[in-house]
Amino acid sequence: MSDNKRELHFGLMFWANGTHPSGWRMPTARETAPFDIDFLQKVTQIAEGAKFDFLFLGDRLASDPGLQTTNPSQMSRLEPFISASSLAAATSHIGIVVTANPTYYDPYNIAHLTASLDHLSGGRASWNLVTGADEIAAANFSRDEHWDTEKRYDWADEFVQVAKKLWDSRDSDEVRPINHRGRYFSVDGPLDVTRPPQGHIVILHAGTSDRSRELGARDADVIFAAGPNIETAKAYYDDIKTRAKKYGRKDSDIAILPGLQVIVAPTTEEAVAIYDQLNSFVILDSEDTPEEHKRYGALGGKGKRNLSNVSRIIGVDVRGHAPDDLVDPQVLADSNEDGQRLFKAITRLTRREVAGEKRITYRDLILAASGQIGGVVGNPVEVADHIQHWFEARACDGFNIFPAYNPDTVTAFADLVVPILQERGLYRKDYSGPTFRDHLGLERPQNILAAPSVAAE
Amino acid sequence: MSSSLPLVRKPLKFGYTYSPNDISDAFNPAQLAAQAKLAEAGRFDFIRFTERILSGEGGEARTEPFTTASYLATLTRKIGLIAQASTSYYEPFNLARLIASLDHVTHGRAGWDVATGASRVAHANFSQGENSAESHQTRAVEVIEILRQLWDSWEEGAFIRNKATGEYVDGNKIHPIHHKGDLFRIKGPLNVARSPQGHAVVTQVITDDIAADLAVREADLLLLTAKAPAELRAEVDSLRARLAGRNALILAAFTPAADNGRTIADRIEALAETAQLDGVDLHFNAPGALEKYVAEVVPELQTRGLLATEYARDTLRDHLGLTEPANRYAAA
Repeated sequence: MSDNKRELHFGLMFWANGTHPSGWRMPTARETAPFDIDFLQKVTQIAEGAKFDFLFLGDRLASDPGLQTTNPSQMSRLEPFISASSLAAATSHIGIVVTANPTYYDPYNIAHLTASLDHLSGGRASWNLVTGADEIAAANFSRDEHWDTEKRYDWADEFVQVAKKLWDSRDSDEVRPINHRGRYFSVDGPLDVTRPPQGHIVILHAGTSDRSRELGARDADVIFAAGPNIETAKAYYDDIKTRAKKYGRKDSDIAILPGLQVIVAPTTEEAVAIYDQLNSFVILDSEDTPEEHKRYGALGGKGKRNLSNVSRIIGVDVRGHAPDDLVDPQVLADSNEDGQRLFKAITRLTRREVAGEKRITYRDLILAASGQIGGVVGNPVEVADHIQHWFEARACDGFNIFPAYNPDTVTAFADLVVPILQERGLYRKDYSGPTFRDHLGLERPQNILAAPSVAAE
Repeated sequence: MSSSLPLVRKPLKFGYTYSPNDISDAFNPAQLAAQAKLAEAGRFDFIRFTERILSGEGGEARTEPFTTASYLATLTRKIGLIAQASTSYYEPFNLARLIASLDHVTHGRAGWDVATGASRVAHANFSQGENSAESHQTRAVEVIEILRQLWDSWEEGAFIRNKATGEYVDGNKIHPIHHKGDLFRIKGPLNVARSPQGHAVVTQVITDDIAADLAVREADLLLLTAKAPAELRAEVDSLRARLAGRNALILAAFTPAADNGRTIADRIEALAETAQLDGVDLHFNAPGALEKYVAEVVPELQTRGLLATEYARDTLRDHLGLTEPANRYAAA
């Protein structure tokens, strides 16, 4: 990919029960999706038909029934390497991203699994390197405590260098032991798998800490960014691309993709109706104890879905209302800055305000205060405009599309939005090659064990 | 066949231990897929994929067993898919997830071939010092116990998925395991639902007394290395005595020579009778050999009733006549 002709990149964040906490309750949603491999293959094929760069398989190394109202998709699901290999057999072009946490793996295993997946998929394998923010995972891996960020990144930095050397250790007929002796790892090699078709597996990374940004700028080909608003996203984008330069990397060497939940329908009204239906299924919390709050929060809940949480955030005591009550305009007037932002986000998504014909309800406020403020809801042109605006402002190189529920939101995006972006010349009409690196416009890297600069190290 | 020999239980079970030498390019997924489909056409009960970090030097490079088996899960319908993995080089929580998930994507056709890993070459790849065979064995025993607990940690019926009420799971049917052993502390529960077979079929190759001890305790399927029939018979008798009636099958490795179909079928039949095997685990080690076997030997075996003509049911446990293990949490 040349720098003057940028092209959008799309991933599909594959939470089988949907990225919306109530996605699975939609009438057409497949509620058994997380363990239904035939259905997962079908959705992957829809994304491939829309020429997506990749399918993103997340992971979390612990489970808790408490997730059922917040993140059912993350509570229980197939192990990512297993899903990925099964999906590879049912597809031909789409990249397949597997999340694996080096904190709880040996580099040989990850190199082994990813290299093998790359062969089986014909060069479509990718590794999302996460270091694990979940404290409760430690209890499933005989650890007394969750490592702090510095330790996790020191470990990950060495881990990824070992993995790259292992990928390079059996190249054509040339077999080279790696004899790695580092702070954490001692690995002789070679790997028992020949060098992957892509040379090195495409590496994804996500995170906002300084260590994470540095790892991403040095080692990642794709960065999955948080983008609460376009200003924050632009700052993040600039920072990563600037950091990457000191490692000799070009802007086009890293694709930065924030997550984006898209609810699209032929008309704005229909899209908002879908969004409202999804939200109507969300189970609200009773006013509860701090202990419960902590327990749910540890696994991804961004806040309780109740009016105490709303009151705390907006600085106005609104407890005692029914969820379907209309919010009094005075509440907006009295709200603090965070409150003002919540109201704006609600209006952006639902087109409702505190005055006029279509009014904001307390349910809207409760959901926004619990963290449900992202994404885009609208007709195909509105959604395409949003994507184009962020892309051209260099706030991103594309998006990791969050399917609120499956398969309908994926089908709708593929059928309604993709053709507009293709028509505008922003997005590929077909794959230029069979590998994930091809989709990203990345060269197959040289063998680092063969390169003299590394041999001298 | 001599009528003085005890009769074997017909039909026999047939396994296929894949070697990368069986196809011309072991990293060509189309060739792997064709090989698996061929084995399924030959009505093998399972294919077993081995990893090589355990055997050290020598042999051919190959794709990793879990990814290979799950790739082929999509492209086959009936044949069992067994992945070898070492208890010494995986975290138990990861291993439990991989195996349970393989059982899901195969719709109940998964097996796990337990390797306990004692090769110096393998240690050197896992930042481990050299450990005794006994210490690997101790680790294996604890790992298998953890896996079985984790596989039980979601009861059947843990999922409610009631769209009308919004109840997704029944928390009372999801169990932390709170394992505290000599080597591992695992809280659980697993983050994978109970798999179609409950527990994947556990296999082990009997390479020595230590392996035999573990297999007698834990394995559903005991795989013996190739030996003279009389020697095998002694081994089988000893293992059956130690199994003490536990429902497990004993198969022995067999590599067909370049004979005609009838001769090979004769040998398989004689081997099974003499050694009182439940079946044989075929090895080929040459491209085209499986194809020839399926064309020439399989019909002969089927004519004699030694090999079933179709898969009667769907799971690997079905093929092998093994029942699903009870869930330790459900009965209470």
